[in-house]
Amino acid sequence: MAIPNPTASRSSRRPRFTLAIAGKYLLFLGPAAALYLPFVLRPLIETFYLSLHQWNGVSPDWTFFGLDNFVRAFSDRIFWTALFNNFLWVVASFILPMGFGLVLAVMISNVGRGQKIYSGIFFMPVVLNLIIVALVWGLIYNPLIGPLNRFLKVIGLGAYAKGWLGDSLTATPAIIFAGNWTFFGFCTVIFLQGLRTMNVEQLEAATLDGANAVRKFFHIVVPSLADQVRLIAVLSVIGSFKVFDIVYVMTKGGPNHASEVIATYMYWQSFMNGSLGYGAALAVLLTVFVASASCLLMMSREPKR
Amino acid sequence: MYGSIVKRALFASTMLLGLASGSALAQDKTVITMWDQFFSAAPNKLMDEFVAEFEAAHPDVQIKRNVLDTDSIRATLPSALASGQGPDIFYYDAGPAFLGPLVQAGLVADLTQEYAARGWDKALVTWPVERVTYNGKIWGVPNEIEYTNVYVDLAVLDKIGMKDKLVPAEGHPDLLTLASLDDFTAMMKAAKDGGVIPIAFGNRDPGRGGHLFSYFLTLTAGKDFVDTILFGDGRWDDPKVIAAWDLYKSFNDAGFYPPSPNAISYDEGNALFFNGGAASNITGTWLVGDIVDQVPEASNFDFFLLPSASKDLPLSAAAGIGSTFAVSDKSAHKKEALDFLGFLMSKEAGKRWLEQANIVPPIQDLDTDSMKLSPMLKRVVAGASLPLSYNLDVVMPAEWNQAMTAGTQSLLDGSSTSAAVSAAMQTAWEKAKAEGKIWKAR
Repeated sequence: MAIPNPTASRSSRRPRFTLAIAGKYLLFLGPAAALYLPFVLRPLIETFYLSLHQWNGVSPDWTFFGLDNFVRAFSDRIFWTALFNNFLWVVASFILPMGFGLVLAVMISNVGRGQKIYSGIFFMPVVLNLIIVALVWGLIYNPLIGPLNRFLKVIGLGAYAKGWLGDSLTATPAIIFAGNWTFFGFCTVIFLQGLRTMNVEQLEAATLDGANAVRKFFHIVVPSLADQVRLIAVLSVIGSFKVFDIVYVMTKGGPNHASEVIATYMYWQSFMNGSLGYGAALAVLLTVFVASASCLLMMSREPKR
Repeated sequence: MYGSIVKRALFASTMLLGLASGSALAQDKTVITMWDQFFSAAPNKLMDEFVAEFEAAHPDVQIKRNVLDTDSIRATLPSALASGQGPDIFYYDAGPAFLGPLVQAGLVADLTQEYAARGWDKALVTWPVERVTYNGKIWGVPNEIEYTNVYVDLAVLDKIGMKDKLVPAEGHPDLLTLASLDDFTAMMKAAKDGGVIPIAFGNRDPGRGGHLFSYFLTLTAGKDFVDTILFGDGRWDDPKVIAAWDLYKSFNDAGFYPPSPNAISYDEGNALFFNGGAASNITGTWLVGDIVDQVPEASNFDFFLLPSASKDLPLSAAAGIGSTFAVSDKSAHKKEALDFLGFLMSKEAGKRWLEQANIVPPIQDLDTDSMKLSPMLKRVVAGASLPLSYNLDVVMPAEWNQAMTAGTQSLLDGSSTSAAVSAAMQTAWEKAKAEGKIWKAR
């Protein structure tokens, strides 16, 4: 009996590329391309072209600068501060909402009744507009009327009361906390879904083998949620690099650029400081960072063959 | 059935014809677009009235307003003008950081000839016109004289026993001041000891700290000194500049500002002051409108001017024109746009700017005695005749403003020093000077 050659078989089954198939490709890709080319690809190319120039946004003359705007970025103290803050956002958005969300999901999954109510309550911040969140947390942190400082004074920690958003050291962590408050509910729901599809027999077997709750959590629950962790990681990285609105509303990147992220610094350079060429270079760098991080994470999602 | 359809079709055709005719009539009108920043209730209402009256007097002209706040107009106007889609008239910040780049890009109409032809050169006060003059050419029509002063809550001053410190200014009986800067320090200390925040200062928008610095530099060094930097070889790292920053910082070190002013917005600072939570508020005369129109017990508030640090310096304040009207160079309706600006700068309009909007227009020889003005606004008018200095952000280039505003925040959180901030300002100034970005009125 002849052994079939799978390669040859696949090759022989491959349909010929005909006009009809080209038409089908066009039919399916056309609508997306009609939107993607003029509204995504063209602006991307134009932004890159602008990043090679010096332009104040109004002058008819664009001065060719080569890669000087990129060189300038790497010698710009504020750019490094902004980039560092973006990385803080990435790390914090990965650890805080994921850790809290996971613990919460496990707790909710152990509640007999009312799981939907709990997950609904914890999911509520996700649907809030970030501008509203920024305004509310701005009030919470307010050094004059904010409840956070009042609470600290009530519990005898008045020495730690401060203007959280007005201090170079605390502004970024304070905004990150507020931003992540809106994300943990999402993580909870995603993990909850993962837990529902988890193999319960493994947990039962571990229980019979005498594994305690902590061992079961780290050796069975966490590994089985790997897909959910990757999904949240991708969303965290993209969201953390793109973050703009909550920072702009709460501090405008201040004090003295201490809470700046790349997006707010790009906006400030482009539209408030009249350096559109430099702003475009920052936008290009931001795109490179987001695309690289996303690609790495997406590649890590592919199961090893 | 068929007849009914025909009737409906005829009716629809008639309606369409009517709409088309109406549209054609509207198209016959000259439409002027204007982007302005009169978003506060009283000035907004007054501007609507002005537009309606001008349109009634000029039936062939229609004015379409687009009201924006300061941040929004700064973010959108330059690109709108550059793309050729901008307004005919715009009300925009004066100065090399804002109007300057638009002038350099050829987007603003040169009004020098219009000033002579329309008599504005004689009708308007000279120094506000200088603020919209670059390289000897006039590019705007200023609309408001503003200067920084110290607002006080009289009830709080009374409570802390400091109300009597306010005295009429020598040679200017309508203005209040103090005997010395030390009196101000004593007043602020008394407020602090009395459990009241001495100065309701919010610096989350760091331009606000810039107003304080401009004022303190006026007090410690005077306008003539600032002129030597702006138009001569003076330097921003001069010890007199450092002294002004030291004064700004010393008030923070003494606890005269609220805790963490960098975390407090301008509006929150004002709210603190209006609610009796602070003894004073150092800001511009633009606040008079808010006090008169919005604060229930406006008579509880008044303002005074700080005395200069040296007896050799006159009573003064840091002044500017805020924003200026300007006309797009690409406007197809310059004549109509300028006619409207002329209407806004008439003496009749000037009276209404004062009475209805609490805005002091730079119009010469306004008979304010016959006007119905609040006592506080009368003081503002009296102060407008002083030898006023500069609100620096609207006469300085963008790079310098960046260094200065960063300094206002870094000094408060202790991450910089007065000398370092001054040095950064000098570096930015030299760069802007070399690139030809500085204001040259003369």
